[in-house]
Amino acid sequence: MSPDEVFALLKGIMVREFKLTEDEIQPGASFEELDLDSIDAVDLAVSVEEKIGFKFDTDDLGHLRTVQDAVDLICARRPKASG
Amino acid sequence: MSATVERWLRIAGTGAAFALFGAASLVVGLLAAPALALVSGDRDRRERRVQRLVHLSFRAFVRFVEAAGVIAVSVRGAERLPDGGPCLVIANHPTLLDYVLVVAHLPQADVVVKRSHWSNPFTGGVVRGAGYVPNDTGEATLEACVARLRAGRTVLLFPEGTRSPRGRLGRFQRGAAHVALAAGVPAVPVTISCEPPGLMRGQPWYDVPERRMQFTLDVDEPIPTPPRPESRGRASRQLTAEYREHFAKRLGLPDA
Repeated sequence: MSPDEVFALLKGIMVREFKLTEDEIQPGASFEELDLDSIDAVDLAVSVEEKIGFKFDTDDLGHLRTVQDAVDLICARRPKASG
Repeated sequence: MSATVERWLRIAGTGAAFALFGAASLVVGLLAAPALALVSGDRDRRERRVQRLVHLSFRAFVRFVEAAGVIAVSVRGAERLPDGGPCLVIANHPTLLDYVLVVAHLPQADVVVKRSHWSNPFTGGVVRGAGYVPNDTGEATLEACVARLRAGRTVLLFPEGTRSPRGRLGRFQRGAAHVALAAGVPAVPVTISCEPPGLMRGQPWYDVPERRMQFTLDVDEPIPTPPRPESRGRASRQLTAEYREHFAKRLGLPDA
């Protein structure tokens, strides 16, 4: 999966789960600006796992600040072949 | 009696109330709660007993502060407050005294409070003994509240998470709605108002208002929780907006 595809996936989940609009979700937008709390972070992680099988470490979740951070982490950790 | 003398008496009464509260917290936290723990067997029983002791202490404390002329309290709809059974109580948080005033009417309550109370020498013993829930652990806080409700206990939560800004409502965090949704229980709203305003965030204790503070607690019909939502992210946002709207309306504030 390319970074663009991962971003689109996250965007889709966030629009559906958190009532956000597509315009609000820019790569540089922070989760704080988007008003996502720690429970939302867990829900987002669960949805990502359901869709592409990527599992976040609980420690990782606390360190992600922006949507781009999440994209980078997923792309860096995910084996290229399985995309 | 002149207004100045009356005000100084209320300042003295307020100081006495703070001193009494501190001393009583130490007695309950360091002596009574550990003593109850020794004779209470399991954890559920122990925590319920400590909570009951806190409730009775607060009732006595509120009577003292009323008698000292510092505050007057009126409660409307008190019969809607639970005296047992799974129940989520939510309240706005205009003053320092809110937790005390609500718990004075709840014989059993698990309260979600700030983490700093665990390391505070005055409150540490009480929050530990009563098994209160720290508010800073996200999913774990949520699970702890749901577990208490499933065990048939009453949980008290301040959705703002801290005291309100002067004359307004703070931002509502979604924890209360998450708890209601996960446990499938409605939320009983308690609207607290104080006139003239006092004991607000950032205000020193001796800065007492010109007149005696009149507290009003309005307990309303439970706000229903929708059953098993598809997305808890969406449902918690919707429900949180409903909670906030209820309090805004009750306080006569323009919403938002």
